[in-house]
Amino acid sequence: MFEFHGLLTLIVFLPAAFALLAALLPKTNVKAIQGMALVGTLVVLAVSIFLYAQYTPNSPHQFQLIDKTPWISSLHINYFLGMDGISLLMVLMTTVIFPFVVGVSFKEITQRTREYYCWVLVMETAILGVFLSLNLVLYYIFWEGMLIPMYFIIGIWGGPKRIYATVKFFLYTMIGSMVMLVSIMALYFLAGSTTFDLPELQKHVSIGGMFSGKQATDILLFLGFFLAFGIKAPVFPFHSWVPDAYAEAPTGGTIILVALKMGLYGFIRFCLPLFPFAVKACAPVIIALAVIGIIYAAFVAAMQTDLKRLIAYSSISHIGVIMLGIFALTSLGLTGAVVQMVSHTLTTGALFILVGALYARRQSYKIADYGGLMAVMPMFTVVFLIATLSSVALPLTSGFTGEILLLMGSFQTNPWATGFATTAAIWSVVYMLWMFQRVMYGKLDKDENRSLPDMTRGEKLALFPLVLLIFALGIYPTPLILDKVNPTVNTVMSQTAPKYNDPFAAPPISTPKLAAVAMQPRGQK
Amino acid sequence: MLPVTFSDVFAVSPLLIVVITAMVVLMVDLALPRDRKSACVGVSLFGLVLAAAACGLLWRAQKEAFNGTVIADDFALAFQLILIIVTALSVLLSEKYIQQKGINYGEYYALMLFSASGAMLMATSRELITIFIGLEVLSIALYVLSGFARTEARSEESAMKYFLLGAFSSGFFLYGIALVYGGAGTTRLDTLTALPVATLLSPYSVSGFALLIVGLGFKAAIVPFHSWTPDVYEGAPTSVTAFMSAGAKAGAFAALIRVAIVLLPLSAVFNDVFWALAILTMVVGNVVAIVQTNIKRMLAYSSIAHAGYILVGLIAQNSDGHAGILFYILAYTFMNLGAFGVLILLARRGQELNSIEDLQGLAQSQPWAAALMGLFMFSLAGIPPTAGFMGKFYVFIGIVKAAQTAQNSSLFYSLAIIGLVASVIGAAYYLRIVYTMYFMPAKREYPADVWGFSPGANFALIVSAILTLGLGILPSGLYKTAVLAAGSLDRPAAISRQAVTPAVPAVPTPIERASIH
Repeated sequence: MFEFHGLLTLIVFLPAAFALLAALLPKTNVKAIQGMALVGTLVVLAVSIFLYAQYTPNSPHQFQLIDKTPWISSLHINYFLGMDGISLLMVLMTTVIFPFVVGVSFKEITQRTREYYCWVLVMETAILGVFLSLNLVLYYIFWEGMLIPMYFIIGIWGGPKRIYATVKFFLYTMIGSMVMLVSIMALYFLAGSTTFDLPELQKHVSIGGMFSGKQATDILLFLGFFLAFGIKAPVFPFHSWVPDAYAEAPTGGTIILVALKMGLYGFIRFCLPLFPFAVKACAPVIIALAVIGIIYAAFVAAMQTDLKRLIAYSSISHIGVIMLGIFALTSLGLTGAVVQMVSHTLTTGALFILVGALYARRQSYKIADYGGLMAVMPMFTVVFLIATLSSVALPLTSGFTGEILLLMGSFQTNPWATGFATTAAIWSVVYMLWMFQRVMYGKLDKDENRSLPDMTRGEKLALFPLVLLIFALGIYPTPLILDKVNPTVNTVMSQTAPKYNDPFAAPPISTPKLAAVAMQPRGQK
Repeated sequence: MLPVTFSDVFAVSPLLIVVITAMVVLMVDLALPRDRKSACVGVSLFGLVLAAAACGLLWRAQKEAFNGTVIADDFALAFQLILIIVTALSVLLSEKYIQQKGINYGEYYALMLFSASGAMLMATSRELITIFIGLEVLSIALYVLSGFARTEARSEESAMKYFLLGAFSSGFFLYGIALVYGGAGTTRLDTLTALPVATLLSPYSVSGFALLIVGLGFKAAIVPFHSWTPDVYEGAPTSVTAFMSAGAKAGAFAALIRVAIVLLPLSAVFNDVFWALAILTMVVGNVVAIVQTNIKRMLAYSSIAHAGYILVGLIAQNSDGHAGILFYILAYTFMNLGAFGVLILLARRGQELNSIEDLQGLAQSQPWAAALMGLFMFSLAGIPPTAGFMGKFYVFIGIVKAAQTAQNSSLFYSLAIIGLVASVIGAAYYLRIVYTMYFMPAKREYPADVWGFSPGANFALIVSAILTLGLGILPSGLYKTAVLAAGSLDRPAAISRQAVTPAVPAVPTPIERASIH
């Protein structure tokens, strides 16, 4: 019952501790507060790199560095943190992006700075908690607690329609999570009122046959989770909070929202292992939604006149592609989805930083206010081009690695849907490059734009590392990511094909050293 | 006349101490000059501490008293402790506030203690007439308290409304007792539990029970018996509203739970009734709260909505649900009294906060007051990691558990989902307070010495805030106690059942009992 490694607890609560330290600083000493926040996020990054080194991919234990201790014992609720390859990657992604969140805010956030950095750090704690919790109640608390800092970040420091955007974001997310809460409680009772721990519940499903003969329950509970994750991800019909929240949040907040891969992560972490049959049954519908989302969002993106809203819609389109990878239910597709989640965060994060930099110069997100910027901002244009190209998945960028794996994996099970989804690559070229062309190329015809400065030192510091990471993941992803992720992906895939009808079947063992070999889905409808 | 033994007196000692304290306060008040009534506060708090200690002594003793009409089981003691906490916090919040309002009379504290003793009697009695006496003691003191600011028309109006409607509801309750007695021949709840279902199903008892639900539902502010709530909450002095919101609710629900257990064999009749009441209460409370502009009216509708959540735990009819209710009411006490406490801190004679707009920009001028208010609002909305979330979690886990064994499980699941979705609607208006405080520019001046105003109120607020957060992060210990207390509740019913049919070996759980019929 009691197992305490401590490292994961440290990384989860370290940002909150720094938030507390920052809160103790005098309000007027903005430099010190900014420094504290930056140091905090960097220390967390360092710890996460240490985690990366500690993680052994081919171990028989899926979850490592476990922290587990009883918390609410009357209901068997444990404080339970643990990490596998996928959560490791999500943690790294989060800790990498947060120093940038802090960095881009130095110039932008001029009022109530202390509060801002405190909320940002608390937010990091909540996100890391979500990625590392293995107890459903603990997970839910981080998941839902995350709403409070985000509510303030958008609501205080956001754009003109910030209150509308932040309340919409809050209520949308909350509706989904409330239904998920009922599902979580029902899972507990279905497992004989014994546990809220994910690994235990997974055993009840795959070995104990918790859902055997209860198809309707299985699907209903899955839908409870699906609604929560689908809203957060966002999946097509639940996406309408995204453009508002992305557009109204301050740049730092937008980047946090981009890095909030909690919905997609939830699908992989909870839906696939806990509801293997419901997932299979619902996959065609979900894939249809994903494809609709991909194409619909791409078209809407092309029509946008506001840079931030354009990138927001492009995000929705990309999330659709990732959904396709997850619900293809192949190893290759899942690996691709995980890589694409990271790549999307880096790429879109970079794009929002760039757009934020433009806003800092011109106080406008309107595409029409720009044009011909290449003449005055050559270096800025190059970086913008790299981010744009990674977004449209050009080879050698991280976007390509993820997308090719993902589409290959998806093609194995859903050739037609994949065919439609692949057109997304074309659409994204249309709206991204068209946007790029309207902003950067053409004649420098607005007088206000003639004297815009090129990249400042701070912007270089923020963007060059991101560009480097985009290339690194594009050129040589295997040792960096794939080796860490593949064993976990195979474990998760094996969990989606439980064989509990045969009591003598050996529990599925993950094949180590499998560098993304496609597995055919075992369940036949 | 029945002899009264020491054991009888001991069993009701917590509420007896509260009553005696109230009388002492009246005496002390006579000796004090008009501007120095602080001694009354001291005496009240001292009495409440003694009463809490008496609860501690009685814990786990499971004493029956007065020929079985009163039972000091852990469930009753837990409710009494909650009521003691409510009263202590309210007294602390009241002191300077009523001074400012110029209604600084010693009777105020005495009335509050009397009212609390009534609610405590409701929690501990197992007999309908005794519950009625408790209900009346609770109510009459509250009528007077609502009109305590006698120079204010609103306060008078609120007292009048409360009294008229309250008198009706008491009439309903009393008439219900009469009908139950006519149908079943007893007013003892434990005897009622042991009666054959056919007797309980007689039209007299069924309509009697229905009237009991009306009477208690009125006090607990359950829709459609809620219409007094916004007017009374708005007009009464804020400190009284704070007390009433948690105290009257606790008393009413304690009695309602005991009555509902009797109704278990009649679940075919009453389950749907409770189900409809719960959904109505949650939906109406939350939806109507959204359009309120007056903050006290908004909190009134919010209090109605919370009664709905508590009703969900009651419908579960299992120890998880009952434990959830105990936890919830305590959590509600801290967060709701906390919210009213912030309003009290910000109120000054002649310029009380009325509309939500009055809170604009509070975060800039009074960051701590705003932070506390924000915490209480998030807790009321049920966002983790606060006590409000944990309370909801425990209550709803009760109903989801009930859904597992019930024949019509979709009824229970739908209740859980509707309730939780209604709480999302609820979040909308709690968030409105938060954004008014944090996202809007300041519009008015707040008293500069907010924290120098009343040390007692500061203390009450800080305790509430710490527990609102603390019970959200470490709820385990308290929940264990609540489970223990809820477990004691089912025992008298089970014992009496055994008395009728001694062959039954195992104690049937409420669910089993429900499914038998």
